Amino acid sequence: MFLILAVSLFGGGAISIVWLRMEISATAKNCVNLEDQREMVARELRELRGKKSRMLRPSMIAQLVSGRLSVPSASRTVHVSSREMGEYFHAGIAQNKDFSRGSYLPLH
Amino acid sequence: MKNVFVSSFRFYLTFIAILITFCTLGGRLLHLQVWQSDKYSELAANARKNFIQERARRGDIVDRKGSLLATTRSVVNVGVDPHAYTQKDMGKLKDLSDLLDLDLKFVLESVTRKFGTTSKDGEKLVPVRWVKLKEGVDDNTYRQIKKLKIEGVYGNYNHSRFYPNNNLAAHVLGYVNKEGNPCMGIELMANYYLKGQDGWRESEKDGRRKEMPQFRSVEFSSNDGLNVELSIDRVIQDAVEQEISHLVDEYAPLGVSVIVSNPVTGEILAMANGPTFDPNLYNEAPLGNLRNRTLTDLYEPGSTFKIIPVGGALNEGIIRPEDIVDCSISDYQAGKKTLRLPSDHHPLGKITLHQVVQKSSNRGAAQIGLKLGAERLYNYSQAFGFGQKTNVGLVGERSGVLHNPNKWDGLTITRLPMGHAVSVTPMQVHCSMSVIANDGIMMKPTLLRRVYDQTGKTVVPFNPRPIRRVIDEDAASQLNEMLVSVVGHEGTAKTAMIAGFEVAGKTGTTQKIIDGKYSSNHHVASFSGYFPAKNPVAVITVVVDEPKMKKGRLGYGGSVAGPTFRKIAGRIISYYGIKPNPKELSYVTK
Repeated sequence: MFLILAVSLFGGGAISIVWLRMEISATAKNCVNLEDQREMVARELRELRGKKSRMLRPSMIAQLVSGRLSVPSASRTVHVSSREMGEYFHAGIAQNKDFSRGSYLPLH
Repeated sequence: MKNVFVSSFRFYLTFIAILITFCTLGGRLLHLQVWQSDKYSELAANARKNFIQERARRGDIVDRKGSLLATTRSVVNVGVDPHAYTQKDMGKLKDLSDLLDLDLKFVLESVTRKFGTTSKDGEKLVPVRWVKLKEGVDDNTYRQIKKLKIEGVYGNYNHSRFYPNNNLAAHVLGYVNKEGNPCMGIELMANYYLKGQDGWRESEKDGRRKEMPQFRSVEFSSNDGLNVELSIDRVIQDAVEQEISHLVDEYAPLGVSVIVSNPVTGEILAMANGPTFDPNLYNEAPLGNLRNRTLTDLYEPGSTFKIIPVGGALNEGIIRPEDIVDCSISDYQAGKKTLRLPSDHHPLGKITLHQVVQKSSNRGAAQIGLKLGAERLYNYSQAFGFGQKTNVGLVGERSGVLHNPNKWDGLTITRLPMGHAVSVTPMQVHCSMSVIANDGIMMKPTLLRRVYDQTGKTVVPFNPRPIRRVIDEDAASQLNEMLVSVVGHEGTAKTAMIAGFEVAGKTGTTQKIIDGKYSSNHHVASFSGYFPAKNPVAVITVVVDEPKMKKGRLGYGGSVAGPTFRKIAGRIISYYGIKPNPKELSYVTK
């Protein structure tokens, strides 16, 4: 009885150790795969950041909208003070107007 | 019954044979495990041991708004192991050569080059396990190559420095060479922060040389480099480079240097030169193009230097703006010596000090220099930053030439005030003009704002640092008014006027010394100024080396550098949204 128990114990123990080592190997491989995937995403992200920066270079954007849009010169810029804006709103001109993004402010 | 016993001779023979066999095996085992134990243990360990170096990623360089100027990306060096390559993949080589943009013949030669000769022994054939096909292949292309599944074709990832804006701020950024060494610019200056620290790990590998991650024993992660934020503003830098390009198209000069900075903080907003280069292709540019002319090129500043004797004289209280200077006299009696004064382009007669600056009178400036005296003129020149490096931090900066008064000849005292007998860099002229714009205080010019980590947290801040007070506030204010009149209808820099804004500045036109003589055909045209004069937001210095003028025209600072100043200033005004002064608007209209 003792012999059977000892054999079972040692046998079971040995198999458990082998199983444990296999599990460790599988988990380690999964970890490496995840590391690789993460590195791949990071590489893509860096590549995209570079592309974004290239496309957002001011002269590059200016080329894309050449002849249609440009930075207004000082003489074509209207400066509105906060006081003037306050007067504008208090005068009630701005009432019932849609100021959501994309709408136009009425010019007076 | 069959006899189970064998003859003793055969028994012993068999026994001895078995014994010898086992003894031999035992002996071999002893030899392997005991006597040669160390050697074979080491061999086995070395065969299994896998030492992997983790290269740290170099930090990014961004502008003051966070726009990426330099980054590190992963590229692949693709190659082939000719011994692993098999003929069944022959049909895929065309696709491979197309993806790598290589000649098919070269690819075919590479995959079949199984043996080569060593450099040590040219006759000895050695197996070739790696033939490089192409360096710097992007990740996307490499993924397509992997999809081809050609045996033996594989790549190694490598870090490569990438400058997404190509030539933008090339001289400021510098570049990192193929060996990974920073060579100039911020790359070299801030290398300590940018480079990071490599890591490594130790594990075991299998028969296919693949890492067995379960046997990782020691692991030191790499620390990526810190990021550097510059004071450069990409929008202003781009505007400056565009204007340089226009100027080059118009005048085809030998070189152009432009610096834009905030006088209050000393932060450099743009620094550009022409000709320039693309740091991604640094090895294709002529060496001269790599030079940061704003810091390395010396020239005689000419009239832009006049702010030094005038500023010094005002600060010492030996002259006032309304005092009369007689510019009709051609000689000056200094003790027993008679000094010949430099001439003006037009006879100016008796004019005020204010007009000396406004009209850029050489004779007037010489007399101010004489009033100030050699020692004080030298001291003020030093205080304004001449004859020494500005210590902006970039390598290659030169200190220029400002001789000690004991080395001056008899004429130097009359020539130095008009910007002769002194060699300066555009950066020094820029810093001296910034002193006037900043009420007489010299700030340390800086390109770095902060060093920050991957989370955006500031690790090292670089705050504005005043160096010294050069002249007092009153003297600076008086000189400021004079410089405003320079950029007016009566001054020498009408071309730098901006409608709605009070601009202050000084032109400079210098004849270059060719074959030991001042040449009348080779000039350096410059303009250094700031705006709005009362509350300056930017100091701009433009230096144009040898502009090619149309026949009969001279490359004056006012006509060549002034318009470039005005255009750059106009773009900065639009970008910052600076409100024009209605008074100035009407003045210009009149």
